[in-house]
Amino acid sequence: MPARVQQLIMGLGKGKQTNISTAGSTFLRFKKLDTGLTTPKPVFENDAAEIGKGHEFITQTFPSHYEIANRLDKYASAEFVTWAVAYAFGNITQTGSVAPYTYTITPINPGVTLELPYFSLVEQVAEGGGNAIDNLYVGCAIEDFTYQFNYGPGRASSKMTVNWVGSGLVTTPSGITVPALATENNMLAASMSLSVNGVDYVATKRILSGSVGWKNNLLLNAGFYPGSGLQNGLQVRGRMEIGARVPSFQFTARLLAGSPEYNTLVNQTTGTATLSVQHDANNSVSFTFPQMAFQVAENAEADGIVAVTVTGAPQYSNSQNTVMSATCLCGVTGIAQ
Amino acid sequence: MDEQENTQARETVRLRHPHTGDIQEVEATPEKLVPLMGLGYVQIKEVTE
Repeated sequence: MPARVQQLIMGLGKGKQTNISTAGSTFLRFKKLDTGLTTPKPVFENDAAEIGKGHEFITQTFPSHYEIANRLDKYASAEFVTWAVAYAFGNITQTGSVAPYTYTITPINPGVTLELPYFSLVEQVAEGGGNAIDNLYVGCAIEDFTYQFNYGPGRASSKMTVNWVGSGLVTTPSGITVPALATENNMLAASMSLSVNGVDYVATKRILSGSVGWKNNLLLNAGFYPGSGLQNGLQVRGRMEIGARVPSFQFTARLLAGSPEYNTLVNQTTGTATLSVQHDANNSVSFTFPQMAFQVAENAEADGIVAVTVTGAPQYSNSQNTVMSATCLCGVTGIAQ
Repeated sequence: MDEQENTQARETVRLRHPHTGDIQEVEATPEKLVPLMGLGYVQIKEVTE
């Protein structure tokens, strides 16, 4: 009897793993929008290109390594965005003795470590009294996240997409009892406040859409180092280090007489950019770029209205010692702790 | 204004630099935390058994 994809039960590791190979024990169960099921992919090499066989065909295959990766596409809830940003940035301070808990999150300092906190991820799909899928992926890290906002009604106005990568370690069956669905507090774009270089884009009703992103450019090949480990005779990663990380910020706003975007670009004026969304006073996320310049300001249109699309150039702030930070409030304690 | 509100202690956080061992105790606000966290300071977990 086949299983429907809606039967997927997905648990994201709440507490961080103690190391890349030791599974976490606490999970948050979330819904998601995409139907992508994770597959542990064993990769095999072959000898087709090798000479001396007398032909060009495969005569032998060789185990190489495991590749595990997937995407999480979700409406932006305070709980999920906090989880994603915590594991993507890596340096987390949690305060508050009762809910709501406040998470102050900054990118890790590469002078201290190159490794982000690792999390476990479990996927289960019940079928015929058993499980068609029951995998625990151990030693996972976030490659990138994108928070997107748009004009328009509903939860689709505010979404979060995460790409994650696994070390290759997988436990089947998982042996995990996934908790009940987490209560998510969705943050609609209608709650947004956005200030860029001293301009309040919400008060002037100009803002239309945009995104905030972060990409770790994980050094995935370097994870297969001598001694990194094997599973079923295939290599697994023993580390996943950050590469050259890239913050991103883009927005589209209606263009008015006296709109400052072009002058800000030409003069390379810098200032703070802060984007905040919330469900209520206890569930919110605020992204801050302490020093933002503009890289591109391009005239555009949206629904026939003249607009301008700005691509920001986030700069490292020598006073804040970071290029970007986030402050999140939610009722879940222990995320990435 | 309420006197008690004025004297209420603000929550503080202890941060430690993993390499130098330097410890800083600061107010639990992003303005105070972010510059230190950017330098690599990490929160000291208080054990309450």
